[in-house]
Amino acid sequence: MVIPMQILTTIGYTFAYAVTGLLIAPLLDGFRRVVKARIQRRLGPSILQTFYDIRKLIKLGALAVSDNSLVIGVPYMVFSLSILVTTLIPIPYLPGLNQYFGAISLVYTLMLITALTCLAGLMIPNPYSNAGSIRELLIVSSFELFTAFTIAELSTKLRTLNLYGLATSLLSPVRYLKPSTIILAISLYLLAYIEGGWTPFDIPEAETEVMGGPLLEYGGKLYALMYWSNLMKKYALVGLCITLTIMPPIVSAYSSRLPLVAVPALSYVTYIVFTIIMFSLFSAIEALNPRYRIDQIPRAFLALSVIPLTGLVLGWCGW
Amino acid sequence: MSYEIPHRWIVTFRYPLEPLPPPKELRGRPIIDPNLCIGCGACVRACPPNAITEEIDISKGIKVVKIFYGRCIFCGRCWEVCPEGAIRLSNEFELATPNKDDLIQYVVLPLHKCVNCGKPTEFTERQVVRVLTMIQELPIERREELRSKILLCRECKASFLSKPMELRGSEVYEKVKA
Amino acid sequence: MVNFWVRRSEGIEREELLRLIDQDIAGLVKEKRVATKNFVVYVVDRDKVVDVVKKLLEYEYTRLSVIAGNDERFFRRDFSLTYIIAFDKQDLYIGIRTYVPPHDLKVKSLAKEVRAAWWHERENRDLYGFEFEGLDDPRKLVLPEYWPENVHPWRKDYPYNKPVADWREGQVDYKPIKEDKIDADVVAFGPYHLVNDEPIHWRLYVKGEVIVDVEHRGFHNWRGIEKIAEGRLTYNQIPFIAERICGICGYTHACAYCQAVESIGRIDIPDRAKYIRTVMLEIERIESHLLWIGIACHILGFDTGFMHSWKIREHIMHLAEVLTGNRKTYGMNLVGGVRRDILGDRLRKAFDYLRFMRAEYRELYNMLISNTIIAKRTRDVGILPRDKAISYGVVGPVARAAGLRIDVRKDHPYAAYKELDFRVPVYSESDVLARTLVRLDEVFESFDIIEQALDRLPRGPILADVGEIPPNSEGVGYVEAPRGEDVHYVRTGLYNKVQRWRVRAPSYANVPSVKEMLIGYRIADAPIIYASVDPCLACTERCIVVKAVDNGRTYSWNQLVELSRKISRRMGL
Repeated sequence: MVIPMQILTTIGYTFAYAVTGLLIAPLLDGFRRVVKARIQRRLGPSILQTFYDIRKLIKLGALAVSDNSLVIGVPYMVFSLSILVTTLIPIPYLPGLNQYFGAISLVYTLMLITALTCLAGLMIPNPYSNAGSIRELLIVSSFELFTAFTIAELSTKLRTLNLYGLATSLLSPVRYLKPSTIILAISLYLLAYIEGGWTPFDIPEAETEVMGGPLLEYGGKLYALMYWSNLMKKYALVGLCITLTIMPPIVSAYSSRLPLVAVPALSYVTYIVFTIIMFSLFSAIEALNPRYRIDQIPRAFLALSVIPLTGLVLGWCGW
Repeated sequence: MSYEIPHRWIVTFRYPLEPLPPPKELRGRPIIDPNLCIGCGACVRACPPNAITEEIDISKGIKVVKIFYGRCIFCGRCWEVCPEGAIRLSNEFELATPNKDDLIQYVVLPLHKCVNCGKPTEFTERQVVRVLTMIQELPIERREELRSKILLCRECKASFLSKPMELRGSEVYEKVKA
Repeated sequence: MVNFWVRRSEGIEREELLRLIDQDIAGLVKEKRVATKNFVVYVVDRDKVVDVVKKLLEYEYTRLSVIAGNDERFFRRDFSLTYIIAFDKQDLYIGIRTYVPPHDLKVKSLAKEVRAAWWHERENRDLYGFEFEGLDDPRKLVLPEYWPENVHPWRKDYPYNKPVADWREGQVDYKPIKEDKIDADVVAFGPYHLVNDEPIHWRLYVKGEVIVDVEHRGFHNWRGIEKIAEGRLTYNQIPFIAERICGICGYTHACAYCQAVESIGRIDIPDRAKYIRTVMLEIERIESHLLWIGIACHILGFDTGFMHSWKIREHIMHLAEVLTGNRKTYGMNLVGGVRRDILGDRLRKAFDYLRFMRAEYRELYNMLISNTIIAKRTRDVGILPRDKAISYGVVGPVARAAGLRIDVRKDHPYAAYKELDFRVPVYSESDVLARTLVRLDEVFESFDIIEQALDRLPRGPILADVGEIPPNSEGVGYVEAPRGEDVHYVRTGLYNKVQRWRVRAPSYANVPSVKEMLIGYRIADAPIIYASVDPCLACTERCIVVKAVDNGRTYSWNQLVELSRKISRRMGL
């Protein structure tokens, strides 16, 4: 039996995506720590610190307040779903699983992660973890509008919702400097920042208020999985923005001049470099902001959703 | 590297990996110089947390002054009250250790033996020498009288002092010569 | 009912006021003693004491500062209670004392009307066995739940080093008083919570995220430091243990204690010593405020502010190390003066440092006040109404943020504050933002004070000759700690030892009022509201770890995991 070449490459690329996601997420967190440390005028830890942390946590074994199978199972489920999310990032010329997934299903996968986390958080009889889960749900539901407008804008702009299709359709010459395109890019970055739970919006886990929220009662390996998943989610959202905004013009600029074998590798390297830069930029923004209070959030999100709505309207009008 | 007004962007140090000397004014670990200590016990009485203690072992004929840094609050009172300048405040502050015995400094001083009966007294030889040098300034009769008291143990003193003065002086001289 | 602050007293001289008071309480007083130049004690019958205290609190700018119990059976076969009231505009402390016979320790309670008495009464009940009639809070304050009912450790027949009988047998769990009466969810904020640097338990009754009622149980650290001092330390050893009451404002405790003893012994400390004390107190204030600013930023999720604030704090601690020989717990004080002089070289270094730090602090200040999220999170949060503030007798930045213009440095000048020029920032909003701004402004004032004091440093000795301290006399020492008024009541005893030493740290007055601040706000606000009084539980509880005892309740790792699972099973998971 002959397995078609396309399936083999898909599996290969998907595997590459997953390994990249697993390894780069803690590394990016190391960059985040160093950037924050530099802004706070201190030396900061080694760039590999997050790896050390995870190693230490895993050594402690699986710790949870309960031996309930759902409570223990959630970290594993969340972890595997997070790996799935990282494989959906559509880097141009690296078609993996993202060929078969649409933007909507990506959103639903992210929501599933949130829902599972909250489910475990609500099951555990700890007021802090309950409060954190409720906050998480509140944020997700009030952010719904923003996400919906952004995806609508994306789909009207590019006439597709397939993730890989989104990335490749951008490669053909588009006039990037239209107002609606710029607004779309801004909305995407806002989406990545807010959905990724960077500081003014890290309310569900707010250490000093609810002590980690839904993650509070996990320890050791289970916490390591949750923590790692969270990092991968952050990375995936940033990566998605990179592939949909910065990558297409750059890749399309050099892809026609290079031999076809070198293009995926170069595309991959470009992607990694820009992800690191963007992650560091996000970290810098994070370092300069205190946290919002939960009741200030829905109003702020409502105000923010005007941005993708404007883009949507402008896109319809053809600007 | 030492701590100065930092005019650089990054202000922290790789401290345990590189040394960071404290300013010279630091009141660090007090160290008793065993060559100078006379065992008078002034520091023992001044020490607020009882970190410095003294013990007299008559059977062995020694006095042990013991300073335990686990209790020390680094106030430097001992350094202030020491009449001999035997206590020095060092600049050491990294005293953490897995072994509690590392935090103890002992100073063992021989006790003065009574010139009459040969038994150890409650004070050290160095205390006696110190007092003997202190009384050099006094008029001779007073000096002799004190000297005869200083060199004896409590029991001998009690029995000895009942004897007439002249007798005492000559006897003590003989003992001292011997 | 108490009519707080209805009678004007501003502008009245001390002698005039004392005359007025004599008239007010003429029929009720049995004896009047002038203990020191600004501490007057009236002896009153025990059924009149509450009325007298209420009468005095009608004057403007008065606070019930301390209720100090004492076991005077050795002198006169009685217990005594001294209600010390501070008159802030006359530089006067008035003690209302009543003697209570040991067989019948009943006294009327004041706590319902004067909230400041709430904790003091419970503490005296725990430690001496007084019974306050009408005190509606049956819980213990300082002693743990398992402590036997009829053992009162502050009585003189209880030795300072006696452990209570095997406490494992009497293990009793804490019973909250309101839990059954309120229909609300319980959020336990502490004893272990990320923002609690020290253990305190706030039981928040919440509906949704809104707090509807609050219950406090603290003093997990209480060790009875005062008893150690009464039991075995001499006058000149106590400054060192007083300094170790608290790691942040320890020097204020050492100063307050020394001032109390100096006032008893009528010792005039040399001018140079006064100035050096002032410098060190202000260095400590800057250090403490910077610490607070850092922690507040951290609570709001603003770690950059936290790091920058602590960066400046590191410099000020280095300066303290250069001047005294230690970063904290300076060990500078003795009764009669200070131990280390500020010499020329160090003086120059100090000026360099101050100039540098002021510039850095200006940057931090601008960064913080221009941040909109900080303002959003702190404005109109944790409001303590003015009347509540008066009833609770709050002090320091909490009082000044509530519009009460009180500051011990101005009102009861000590050290060299009388000769120095500085401003006391006062805000009237009484929210977290106002408290933050008071502290932010005070740091600038402290820089000014240090520079002035170093500039004018007089020549001369630094330690006065201390003669005999008269036995059986009493006095108060007071210092404006970074958190407010720190009062030490000292009564001298025989053999060069104190007979009673009562430390009332500022947080002891401020922390009870957190209850009023929390109600009506959200769980998210609770940490910053609680932090806004700058709670220092080490001071409040006067703790010190003397000896760690293995109590047979040490859990292994696996046991601990198993225990937590057992508890969740019990809670229905």
